[in-house]
Amino acid sequence: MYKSLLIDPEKCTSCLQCEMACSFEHEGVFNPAKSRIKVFEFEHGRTAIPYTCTQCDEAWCMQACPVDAITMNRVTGAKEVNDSLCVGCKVCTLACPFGTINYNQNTGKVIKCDLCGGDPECAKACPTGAITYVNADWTGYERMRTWALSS
Amino acid sequence: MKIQVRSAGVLAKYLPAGSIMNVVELEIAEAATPLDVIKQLGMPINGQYFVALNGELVTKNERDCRTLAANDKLSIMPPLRGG
Amino acid sequence: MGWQKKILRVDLTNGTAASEPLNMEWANLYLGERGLATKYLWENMDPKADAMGPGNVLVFATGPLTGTMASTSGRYAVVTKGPLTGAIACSNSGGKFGAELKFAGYDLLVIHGKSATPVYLHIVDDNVEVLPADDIWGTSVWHTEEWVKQHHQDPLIKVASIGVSGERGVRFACIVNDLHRAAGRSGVGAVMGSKNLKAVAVRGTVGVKVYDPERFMEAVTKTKALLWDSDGRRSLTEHGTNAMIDSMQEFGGLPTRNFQEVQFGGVDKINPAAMVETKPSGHRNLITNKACFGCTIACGRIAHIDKEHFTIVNRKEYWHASGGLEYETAYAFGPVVGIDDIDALTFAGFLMNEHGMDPISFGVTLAAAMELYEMGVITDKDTDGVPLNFGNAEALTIMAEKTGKYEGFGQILGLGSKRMCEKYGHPELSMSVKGQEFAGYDSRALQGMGLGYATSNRGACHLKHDTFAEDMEDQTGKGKARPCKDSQDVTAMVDSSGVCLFTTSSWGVEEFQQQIDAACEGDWTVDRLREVGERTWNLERQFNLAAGLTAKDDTLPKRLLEVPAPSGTAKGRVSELGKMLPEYYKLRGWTADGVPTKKTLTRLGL
Repeated sequence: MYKSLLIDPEKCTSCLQCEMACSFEHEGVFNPAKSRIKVFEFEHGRTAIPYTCTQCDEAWCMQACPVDAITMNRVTGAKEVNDSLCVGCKVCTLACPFGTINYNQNTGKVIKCDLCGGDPECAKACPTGAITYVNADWTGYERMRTWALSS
Repeated sequence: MKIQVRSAGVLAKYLPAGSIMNVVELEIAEAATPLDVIKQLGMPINGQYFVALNGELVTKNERDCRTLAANDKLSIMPPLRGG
Repeated sequence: MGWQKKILRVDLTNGTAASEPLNMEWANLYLGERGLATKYLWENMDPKADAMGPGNVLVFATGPLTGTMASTSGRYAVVTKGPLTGAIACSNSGGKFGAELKFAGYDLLVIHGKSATPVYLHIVDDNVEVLPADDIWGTSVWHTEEWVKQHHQDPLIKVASIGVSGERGVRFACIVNDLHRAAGRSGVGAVMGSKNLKAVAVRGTVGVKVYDPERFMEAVTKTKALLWDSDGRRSLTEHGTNAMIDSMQEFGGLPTRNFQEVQFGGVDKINPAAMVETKPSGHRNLITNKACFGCTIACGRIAHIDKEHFTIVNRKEYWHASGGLEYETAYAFGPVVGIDDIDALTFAGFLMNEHGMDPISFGVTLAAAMELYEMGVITDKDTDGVPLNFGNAEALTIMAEKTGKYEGFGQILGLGSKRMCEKYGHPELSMSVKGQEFAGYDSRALQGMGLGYATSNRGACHLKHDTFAEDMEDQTGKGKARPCKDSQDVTAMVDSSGVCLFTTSSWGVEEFQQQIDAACEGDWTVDRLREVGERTWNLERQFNLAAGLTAKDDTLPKRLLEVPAPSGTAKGRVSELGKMLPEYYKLRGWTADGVPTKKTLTRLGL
């Protein structure tokens, strides 16, 4: 059963705990510059939206990679980068329409969200529930429920 | 007998329905004390509040001794820090 | 480990910048942020130097916990000599700038001298440039941030900058970072302006490490949960700091019309309930709440002004959202000037952030000007034809803009209330201590607050001590000296750690100790941390004494010492400072003249 990161921007306060948790998990350092999830602010902070790879099925990154360094984790459904195979050609960063896979000049490899192997740190760190980890088939249900009530 | 109760902020939710701008009329027992009102409204008994009765400060120790009279104005305000 | 162990030293006179190791001996004595910056100031400048001259040193300082996963880890301090007060200025800010400076690899940024021409600093990790500010000098904070992001093609760069008010030496000009967060008090913005430094822009990719990551994260998880589950936190998240206005009104400690009264009839129009009221037009002041870096409280308010309101009906550029009312902004633009128009208050708040000014000092200075006007000491001739009556919302918004742009009567208001009132022959109307204006708490109703105001090293300040619980239980001056002194020491320690003061709504020194000891090497105990606070307080005191301040400056305006509060629970009371101060000096280990004794200095290693 796959789960997805569900983002609710209404709840995001732009605290960036998700970015720190992500970098801490993957790099052992508190370093938003190396976070796979990024929060974007608009209009003086009125709107804050965390965004990252949605683990899409088309997986342009995986298809574009010339050395097959990106593979799908059968348990989580996440598209993961194998550092020992990645050559840093950055073709995947061109192929992804969403910009959620990026180059890390410190390591010479690309980085992207891998759902932390099934226990995403960002969702655990988020204090407001703006990021949750739910069944991939049911990400719209909460919104559907709200609308059902109002209609 | 009836008294007027005012609150604000995180304590406002304890006021019964019908409050206007966090002020409400409350029916209480004769010879009730501010502590009785706190209990009646369901507020935590040992909470840190600022309590005032008819514009006079009610200290923590006095909460269970001052007796209320009809039409008294009681304020129970939330705990706060600077900003 | 916690610390980056590196500082960046900039000499604006020579246009040079170089990094050097952090003085670890000092870090071990002062921890970071406020305390450490004070030590750097003490060792690098003459306290008698002109606050707006090249001899003043300006320090941006992070703490060891800044940029870590500790809750509220976004804090940094700006420490310098304050143009408003002539005393030490230890301003504190949140937002994202401080954490970014830390991620770039620096604990402190120490700025000396004065640039011959307007410049700004551009820092990307090790890459530091002093660049010409021709395109941004003479423009607002908001324009400056936008320009820097576009010019460097980096929307994630963090900027701390000043407005025209800071460039022109408005005594209470501040440094704004991230559009609506500020190192607000004592005129630190004017120090930047006097150095021809328009902005500091920083991007960091190095990151922050901690000494014992596992133990650190255990402490963080525990303290985060403790903070989350407290009423103080809930109040801040749901209502912001403006929740204080209802309590102060009930208590009778809400300074109104330049402290002539202590309660204000218009509170219901500007309190948190008013901020969430939806008008028939569909407009609601408050939009949402926002957090600083690493913060799990999110006390920040995001608001907008009614498009039909007179202030912005023809000014589309102000139709967007921005920082909404804090308690101090609401007090300084509401009760103290007698105004209850929530849109006018919000607009004036926008202007403070856009033009880089301290709302507290501006509001209380305007209040003094209003009293002078109503007395007939100044007239329309002086005030550019604007009637400065209490309650005049237009006067507030027009004057806020004039002062931000340093125009007309705004130049007079820009002197601050002390110099302005002295100029007009009525110094007693300046509601300030050491030249810095009071926050929204009246010393006649809150005695411990009065003592804190009088003894705060940076002038009247409500954030350097915490006697709220005691003041709300006992309205006399009895027993206030001890909690005032103790909380001053704890607060100085918190201000030196890198996290936000609002965590003290649920954390005791133990909670700070657990996180600091895991993040930093060395044995950090509760006692050692308390001592850091006391040491910082005494060093600040020494700076002030060397700058020429004396015990005579530890006082309050006559109005608070002699004129009884006219209403509220403290009706009839005056400040009992005279009784509290001697006890306070004794507890501090100072002489009757407020000078730290040799014994005290030796004990603290000073």
